[in-house]
Formats: sequence, C-alpha cells, structure tokens
Amino acid sequence: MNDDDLHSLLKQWEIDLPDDPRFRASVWREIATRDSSSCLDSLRSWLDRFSSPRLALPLGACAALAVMGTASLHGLHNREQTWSKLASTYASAIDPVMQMERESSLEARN
Amino acid sequence: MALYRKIIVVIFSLVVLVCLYAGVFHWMTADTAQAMKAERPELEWLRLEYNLDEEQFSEIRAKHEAHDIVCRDLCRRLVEARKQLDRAINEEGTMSPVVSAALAQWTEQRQRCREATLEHMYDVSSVMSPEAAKRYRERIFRQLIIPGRMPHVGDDGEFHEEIIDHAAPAENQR
Repeated sequence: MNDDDLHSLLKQWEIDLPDDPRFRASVWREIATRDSSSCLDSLRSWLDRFSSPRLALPLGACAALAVMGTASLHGLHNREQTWSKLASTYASAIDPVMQMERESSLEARN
Repeated sequence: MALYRKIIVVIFSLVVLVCLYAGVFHWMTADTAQAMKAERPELEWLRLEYNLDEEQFSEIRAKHEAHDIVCRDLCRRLVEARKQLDRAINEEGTMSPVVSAALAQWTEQRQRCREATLEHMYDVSSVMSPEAAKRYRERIFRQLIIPGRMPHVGDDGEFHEEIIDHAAPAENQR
C-alpha cells in the first residue's frame, strides 16, 4: 500500500461508536478495575518485600521491642501519676491542715 | 504465599502487637490497679510502697483509724479558728489586738495540727523497717512541709514560718 492509498483509506475511515448509553459508565468501570488491580499489585509487591524470612524476623523483633518499650514507658508514667495522687490522698488523710485546705478549696469552688 | 494469606499474617501480627502492648501495660500497672480497687486506696498505697507485712499493716491501719478521729476534730477546730480570723480581719479596720489574738489562735491551732500529724507519722514509721521508715518520713515531710516550712508562734507572740533544717529533706531546703 502506498501513501496515497493509505491517505484515501484514512479519509474513508469513520469511527463507529456503539450506540450504547452505558458505554461511558462501562469505560469508567474498566478504568477503576485497572486502578484497583494496580493497588493490589503494589500491596503484593510490598508484602513480598517484607515476607522474606531474612527481613520479616528482624522486622517483627524490632516491632515487638518498640511496642514493649512504649508500653513500659506508658505504664511507668501512669504508675507514677497514680502513686503520687495516692501519696497526696494519704497525706491529706493524716493532716488536718491539708484537710482544711482541701475543704476550703471545695467550698470556694461551690 | 497467596496474597490473602499474607494479609491475614499481617493482621494477625498487628493483633499480637496490640495484645503485647496491653499485657506489658497491665503488668507495669498491676499494683496501682490493685491499690485503686481497695476499700482505702491510700492505705493500700502505703502497704505496697513500704512493703508492709500483714501484722505491720493491721497495726498501722489501727493507728490510722485512731488518728482519723483526732484529725477530724483538729480540722474542725482549725476551720473555726480560720473563720474567727476572717471575721476579725473583716470587722476590724486596723491591726487591732482582736486581729492579733485571732491570728495567734489560728497559728497556734495550725501548729497543733502539724504536731499531731508529725506525731502520727513517727508513730507509723516506728512500725516499719528502718529503711522503709526513713523513706516514709522523707515522703511525708515532702508532702506536708514544702519546702521545709513550719508555721509557729514565736516567743514574741508573732507569727513565723521558719525553715526546719533538721526536718525537711535536703532537696526541699531552698
């Protein structure tokens, strides 16, 4: 086929769009399916990267250590706060001056 | 490994980590949780903090309950003395003998209260082991007398708030 033939053939060519009102919707649906499969692909590649025993074991150990450290710090903080509160409660239970101050501040608040 | 199997492994790992967090936190705060559940949490704190055995704890509890009656009475008297002082300050237009007397009475009552507290503190610490008694006294001093000030009426009849060098813990003396 020479250039002239191709030119005349292209001139004759008409795009025959289907007369389907749901055509656009189906195109968008197709795009969405391709997008989601690309998400799945990236998830798969991410999981593949971390699922090798050489990487998964140290990663798991680090995560466990980080969680234990954070929980210990949180627990220690909570314990110190409660202990300090109970020490104050004890002191005010044995000291009339602190009892009076507490009652005065309660009266002032009311 | 199939994708869904891997996702399940990740979810399971996250659940294990959450359980680990909860377990460590629970272990760290087990004694405080136990103290808070007790009938008198402040006494339970005393028992756990100073490693009191059953005999020591029941003796201290009895002393605490006896002191509680004295403490409430002293508190009532202190409130009365403070009300008298408030009245005298509001009614008198100048620093009159009435204000001075009310102030002296309030200060004297306050000193009596603190003496009763310290007496109880020494009484309680006598039941504890020497190491626990020392820690207990330091803690109570820190709670009550910050930074080691004790109000009292001097020989001149005036109100003073002086630093008690021998009583306050070193870190509270400024």
